Amino acid sequence: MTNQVAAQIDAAAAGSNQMLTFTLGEETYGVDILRVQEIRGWQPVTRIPQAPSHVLGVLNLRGSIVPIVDLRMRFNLQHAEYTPLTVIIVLTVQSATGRRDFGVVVDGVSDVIDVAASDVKPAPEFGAHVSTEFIEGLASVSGRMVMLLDIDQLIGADVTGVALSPAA
Amino acid sequence: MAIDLAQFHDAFFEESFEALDSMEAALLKLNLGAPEPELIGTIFRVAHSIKGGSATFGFSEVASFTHTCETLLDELRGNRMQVTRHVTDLLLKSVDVMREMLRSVQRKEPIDAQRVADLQFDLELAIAQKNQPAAAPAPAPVVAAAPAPAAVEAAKPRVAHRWRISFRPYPQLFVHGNDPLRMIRELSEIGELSVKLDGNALPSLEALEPESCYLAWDLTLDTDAAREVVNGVFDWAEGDCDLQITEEEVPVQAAAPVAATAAPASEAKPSNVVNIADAKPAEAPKEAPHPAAAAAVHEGPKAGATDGGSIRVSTEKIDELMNTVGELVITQSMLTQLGSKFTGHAAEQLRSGLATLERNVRELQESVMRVRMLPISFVFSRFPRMVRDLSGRLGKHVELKMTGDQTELDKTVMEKIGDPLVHLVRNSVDHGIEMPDVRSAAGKPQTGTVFLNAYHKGGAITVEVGDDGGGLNKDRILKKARERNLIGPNETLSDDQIYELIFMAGFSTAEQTTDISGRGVGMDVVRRNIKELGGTIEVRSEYGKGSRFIITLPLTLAIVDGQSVAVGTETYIVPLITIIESLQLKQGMVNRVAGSGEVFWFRDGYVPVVRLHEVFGVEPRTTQLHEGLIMVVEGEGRKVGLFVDDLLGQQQVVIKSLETNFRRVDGVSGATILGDGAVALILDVPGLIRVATQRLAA
Repeated sequence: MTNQVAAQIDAAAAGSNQMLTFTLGEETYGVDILRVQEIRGWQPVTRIPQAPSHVLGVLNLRGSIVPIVDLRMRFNLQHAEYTPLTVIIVLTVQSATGRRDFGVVVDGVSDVIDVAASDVKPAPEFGAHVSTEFIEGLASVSGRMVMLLDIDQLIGADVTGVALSPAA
Repeated sequence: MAIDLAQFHDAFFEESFEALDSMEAALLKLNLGAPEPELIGTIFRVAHSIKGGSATFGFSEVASFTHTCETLLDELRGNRMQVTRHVTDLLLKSVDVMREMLRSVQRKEPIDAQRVADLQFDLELAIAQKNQPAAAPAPAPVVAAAPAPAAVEAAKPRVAHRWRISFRPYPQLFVHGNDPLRMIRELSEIGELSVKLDGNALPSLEALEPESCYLAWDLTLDTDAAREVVNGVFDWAEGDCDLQITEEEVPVQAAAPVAATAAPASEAKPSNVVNIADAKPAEAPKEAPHPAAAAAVHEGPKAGATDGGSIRVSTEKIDELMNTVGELVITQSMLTQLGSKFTGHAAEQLRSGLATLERNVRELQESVMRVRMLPISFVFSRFPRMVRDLSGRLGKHVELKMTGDQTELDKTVMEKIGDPLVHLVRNSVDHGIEMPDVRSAAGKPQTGTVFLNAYHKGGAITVEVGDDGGGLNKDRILKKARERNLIGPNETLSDDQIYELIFMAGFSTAEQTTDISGRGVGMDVVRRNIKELGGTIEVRSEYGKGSRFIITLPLTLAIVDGQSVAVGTETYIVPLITIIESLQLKQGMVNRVAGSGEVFWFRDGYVPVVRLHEVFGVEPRTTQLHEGLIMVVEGEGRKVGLFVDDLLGQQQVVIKSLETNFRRVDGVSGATILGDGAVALILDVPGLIRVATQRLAA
C-alpha cells in the first residue's frame, strides 16, 4: 500500500500519470486512474426517455442513480453486442454543477500504464469529420497508440444537458 | 490560545432565533395582570442568553438593546412592575427588533439604529414609569443613549425576614462532597440574596491545595422563609463549617436593585467565582446600579437542563443515514429472495434469521424517517402573534384555537407549507371573521374563532384552517366570475365548482382590497404550492356560518406511495395520489379526434389516451388498447388515460434524484431502486401530460 502510494508520488513528481487503458474495437483509450471509481460487469440498465442515444440509461450503483454512456455510440463506432465480458467503468467528472459519477461501456479493460508527460503528444487535426476535442493527447506505449480521454469534455455536456434536442 | 469565535456564530444565531420564537410564544401566553412566573422566567432567560452571547461575540448593539429588555423583564419578574398590554406590546416589538438586529449582524449589514434606539427609549421609559398610572404623562428622567437605565426608587415588597449568614467552611468541606456554590444557589432560590466573599484565607498559588476550601462567605438573605429552611440548606455541611445565622431587621424601604452594566462585567471577571457581586442592600444608594446577577445564577443551570434532551444534527447527515438505510432495505430484500432458494436443515434457521433482519431493518427505516419529522407546531407557532396583530389592526375580536400541533411531518414539507397556511389564516381573519357589530347583529358571539387543526389520516397529514365567520358568498363569487367572463352568463355550477373558482388566478371577492389580503393573488398560489408537495386542498363553506379549508399532505417527500406499472421490459412508478382509476378499454370504446388523437368517455367527459410507450420510446408488449390497461391520472386539473401493459403492485418507494449524476428529465420526477436492485423511474404526471400534449400538438 505504502509502496503504491510512494510509487504514485514518484510518478507524479516525475510528471507522469497512471492511466487505465481499455479497448473499443481495435482502438485503445486511456483515462486518468484517479477518476476511476470502479469497474463492473455489464448488467441491463433502465432506459431514460428523451436521452441522447448514447446514454443507455441508469444503473443503481450502491444507492446512487448513475447514468451509463455507450462509448462506441458516443464515438460513432460500430455497435457491438453486450456480452458478459462487456465492462462498465464508473468514472467521476467535474462539471460546472459539481461532481458527478457516470459509467462508460467499453469492450474490455486492458492495463494500467505509466505515462510520462513528455510522452504525450497533441492529437493532430483531422478536419471537421473527426472530432478531437475530448482527446487530451496521444501517447505511445510499447508500440501501441493510446488515446488519452478528457472525460470532463466528453461527458460534461451529456450529464448537464446543455446541447440536447428538445423533449418532443 | 486565541479561539476563533466566528466558528460559533452560526450556532449562536440559530439558537437565538429559536429562543426568540419561544420568547414570542411565551409573551403571547402571558396573562395580563396575573403573569405566570414560569413564563416570565422563560422570557427573561431568552433575553439573558442572547445578551450574554452577543456580548461574547462582540455584537455590542444587540447586547446593549437586550440588556434594556432584560432590565424591564427583571422588573416584571420581581413583581415590581405590572404586566400590561403596553408592556407586552413593547416586548413583542423588542422580539422583532432583536430578530432584525441578529439578522443584520448575521448578514453583516448595518443595523437600523434609529428603530432600535426608539424602542430602547420606549422600554426605558416604561421602566421609569413603572407603578405610575399608565395615563400619567411621563416626566421622563431618562437618558436614551446610556445603556444604564436610570435607577428608580420603588417600594419593595416586604419580606418577613432578613437573615445574616456567616458561612465559614473548614478546608475539608469539598472532601465530603459539599459544594458551596450549590448552597448559595439554593439560598438565592428562596429569597433575595446578596453575597460577600471573604477571600482573606486564600493562600498564595504555590501553597494552594486544590482540594481545600479557603473561601468564606457573608450572606444576606431577604426572604419569607423561616430559620429552619435556611438552616436546612446547610444540613449537609454540618461539622464542616462554622455557621452563624442571625436575624436582622428588614429595612422598611429598600431601593429596588436595578440591573445595570455591572452585571455583564461581573460575569466576565474570572475572579468572581459565583457571579454574585458584592452588595450591601442595607445602605444601597439610589443611583448605585445593583447587579441583578444573583438571578442569573439560578437561571443559568435551569436553562441548560431543558436543552439536555436534544442535539443538533445537520439535515445532510440525516439524509446520508436515510440513503444508507435505503440501501440496507434493498440488500435485505435481495437476501430474502436468495434465502428462499436454499434447502437443507440450516435453511430454516437462515430464513428465520432473515425474517428478524427484515423486521429490524424496517424498524430502523421508520426510526430514521422519524428523525426528519418535526411537530407542526414549528409552523403553527407563528400564528398566535399574527392573528393578534391582524385582529388588532382590523378592529376585530378573534380567538385562535389550535389543536394537534404535536402532529409530526417531514421537515421539507413543513418548510413549504408555512406560506400557504399563513395565507389561509390571514384570509380567515381578514375576510372570514366579520366586524364585532356585524357578528352581534347576526346573533353570533362578538369574538370570532379561527381554528387550526392537524391530524394524521391514512399515511397523510391533514391540516384544516377554518373560521366561524361569514362563509363564502356563492352569489358574489358567481357574479364576479360572470363579470370576468370566467363562466358563461347562463351556466349553472355545483357548489364545489363555485368554490373551485376562488382558486383561479386573480380572483378576489373582497369589496375593498386591504394591505392584508384581497388583491386576488393568493389562492391560486396556495393551491399550486400544495400541489407541488403532492397534496390537495378542498373547501367546505356555509354562508353565514364559516368556511373550512382542508389540506391533505404527504407525510414526507422522501417516500412516495406508488403503483408500479410495466411497459415492455421497463417498470415505472406512478404516484398513487395522481391515480383516479384503472380500467380496461373494450374495443370500440375509443373514439378518434381529427384522425389522430384517441379519446374515451370517462365519468363525465372525454379523456385523451396517452400511450406511455410512445412518450418514452420503449418497445411495449402490445399496442392494442384493449390488450393493455388504461390508468386515468390527473395532473394540474387535467385528466389523461395512461396506456400501459400491466399493473404490477403497490409499494412505498424511496425517491432518488436523477439530477445528482444526470439531469432533469421531462415527465420523470425521480427514480427509485426496486427490491431486485434495478432502477425504476417515478413518473411526474403533470410533466408527463405536458410532454404528451406537446407531442399531440406537434
